[in-house]
Amino acid sequence: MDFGVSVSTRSDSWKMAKRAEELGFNSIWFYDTQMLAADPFVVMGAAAMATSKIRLATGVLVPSNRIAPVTANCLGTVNGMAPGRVDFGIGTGWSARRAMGLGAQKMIDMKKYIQVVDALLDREMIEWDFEGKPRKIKFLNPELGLINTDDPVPVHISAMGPKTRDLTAELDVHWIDFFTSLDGTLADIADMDRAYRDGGRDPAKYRKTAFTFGCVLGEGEDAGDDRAKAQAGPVAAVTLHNAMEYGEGLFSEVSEGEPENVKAYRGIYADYEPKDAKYLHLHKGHVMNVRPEESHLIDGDLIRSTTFTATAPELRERLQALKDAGFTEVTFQITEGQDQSIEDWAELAASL
Amino acid sequence: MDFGIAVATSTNSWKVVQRAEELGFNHAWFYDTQLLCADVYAVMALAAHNTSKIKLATGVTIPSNRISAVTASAFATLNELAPGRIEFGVGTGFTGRRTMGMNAIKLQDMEDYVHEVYGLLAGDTVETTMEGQKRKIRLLNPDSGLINTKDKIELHMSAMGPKARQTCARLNAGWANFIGDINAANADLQDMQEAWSGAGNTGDLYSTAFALGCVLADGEAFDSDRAKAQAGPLCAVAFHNFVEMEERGSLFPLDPSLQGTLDEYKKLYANYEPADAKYLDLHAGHLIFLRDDEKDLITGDHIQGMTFTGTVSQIRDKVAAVRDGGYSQLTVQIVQGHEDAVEDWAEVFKGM
Repeated sequence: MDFGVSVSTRSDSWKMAKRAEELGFNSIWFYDTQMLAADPFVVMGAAAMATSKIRLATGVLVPSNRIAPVTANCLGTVNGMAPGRVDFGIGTGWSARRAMGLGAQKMIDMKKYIQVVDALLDREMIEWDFEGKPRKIKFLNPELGLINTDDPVPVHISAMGPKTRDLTAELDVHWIDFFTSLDGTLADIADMDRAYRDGGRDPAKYRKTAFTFGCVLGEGEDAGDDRAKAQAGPVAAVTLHNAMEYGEGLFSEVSEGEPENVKAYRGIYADYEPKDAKYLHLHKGHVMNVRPEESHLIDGDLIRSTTFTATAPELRERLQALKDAGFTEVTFQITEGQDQSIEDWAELAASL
Repeated sequence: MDFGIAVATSTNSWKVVQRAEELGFNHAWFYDTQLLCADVYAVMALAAHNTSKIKLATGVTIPSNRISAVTASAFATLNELAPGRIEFGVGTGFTGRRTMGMNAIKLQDMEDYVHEVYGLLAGDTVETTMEGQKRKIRLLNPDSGLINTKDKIELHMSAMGPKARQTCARLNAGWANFIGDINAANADLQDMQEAWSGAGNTGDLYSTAFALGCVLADGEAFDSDRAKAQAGPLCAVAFHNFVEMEERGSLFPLDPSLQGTLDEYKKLYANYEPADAKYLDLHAGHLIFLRDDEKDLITGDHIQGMTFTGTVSQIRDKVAAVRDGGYSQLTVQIVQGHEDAVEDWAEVFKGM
């Protein structure tokens, strides 16, 4: 099993890419969250120059951010700078779209988008719907070498539910999952394998990557302590942010029997301004930091139960279980401002 | 007068930009043409990394390629890599959209887009329309150091017609103009100056003239292989534009002396396939190289009339004419595969 890291994209994330490469990580995944972070392709360009082995991936790209030809072009460009080292992670848009008060994109739109990007990178002509009309498009002079369309750019879909997993199998592409709990993640991969088989595919052929967010606890350290809270707290907080937006028309799920911390968060959320755009405050610092007003709710219990936080031996057991279940890669988020945590993760990975 | 270079964006553009900086050029402009070139923002990252003084500008970016927030984030990302050296060239999309069989976007849409991008960079909450819904958005953590929104990013607009020039003046933007014939270029500038003062702008207009050309050796013909390669693509673009004139309008009036060549172009065009997407063949190599089928149609007369081609002293006379006409900057495109031409141009501009 390979290991990777993921980052809230910063202008200087090339430094992290370089360190990750030195530590033997297989890949670095850059979030595409335009309201929160830096641009992934700009940063992947800089990272391409600073590295020579590590894979550079969008983790994950949101279709509605750029028209499909631009994304194909960006991938071809980075592929020219880091030949054969580029991966195209894509999803229907959670963080990036919620930060604009939008729900995820339709799966069918993501499917078409992937097909257009793929066809363009294969130097094919394809019909693409834009501004209300179908248009035939292709790269007009890919042979010039201004971009690289020779080396393949593998597609990875972030697929959390059965339908998206079916699409992943249908499109014959790799899979990304987000680790929540070990049982949940093992159930996810079982369903993904089911989807591959249902689609007539061999599950063993595909990359299956689990994104994790957490902290390696030291001897006697608690999940609620400062260091763990800085590294894992921002993601734990997201579970509460998520609950605030249930029932606002963006999401179909409704949480049942609300836990105390969710109820308490509602009190905080009630004061967010402006009233018609509370998401602007709710998602500030998303997966990067814990805000002062929510800090008291982000405790050890929440962090332990919702993130990849435990002592090294416990985490090693979880990794072993993920490996045994067939995951080909586990990535660790290096939380904004917690760069030194990459050393902990490298040590953990090396121990497996 | 400032001098700049423009490039058909390529993964290796940073090398010629680095050389241009050494030679004392002030600006490098990168085209945003997703089906022809490499991605402008990713390539600017490499240029930022490898230079320290030269200004790096999109030349010009197309609003419909990316949502405004992605463009704001991309600029702010670059602005951290090259603080205060990033400039925002924008247009309604001629090349970038014609290659997809589309007309330019509406001026009003471009203007709204520019306001959104600058609003976001200023930390304001702006209203955007996405997927038919109005949404309030803002950059949620501009002070986190992931991006740089502090250093100013100058605006330049490509404006060929009277209405576009009014928009340019209203935006208080620098003005970018493609030039060939000197008298026409200076007349354009006078029009622009009138629009500028008509809008009540008190500061000076910053105007950039874009040209293609070739510095000829003693006795070298205007239709030498070198001249055709370096200057010919602009002549071809004029005809690509005229071929689509009935369907899409023209950037400039047709000089009757060009009718014969246009008729030949139309014969070629009649055979382009597929019949419902002739733009794919028509725009292949657009502003990059002459296609085999059009190579013989572009003559020494075209090159002499439409480009900055001649001996050093002949070109210096032209440069002096646009300088005396009031242009603030002259930018020449360095054609892919002819990067050495940057040395010729440095020689021409030396001491001007």
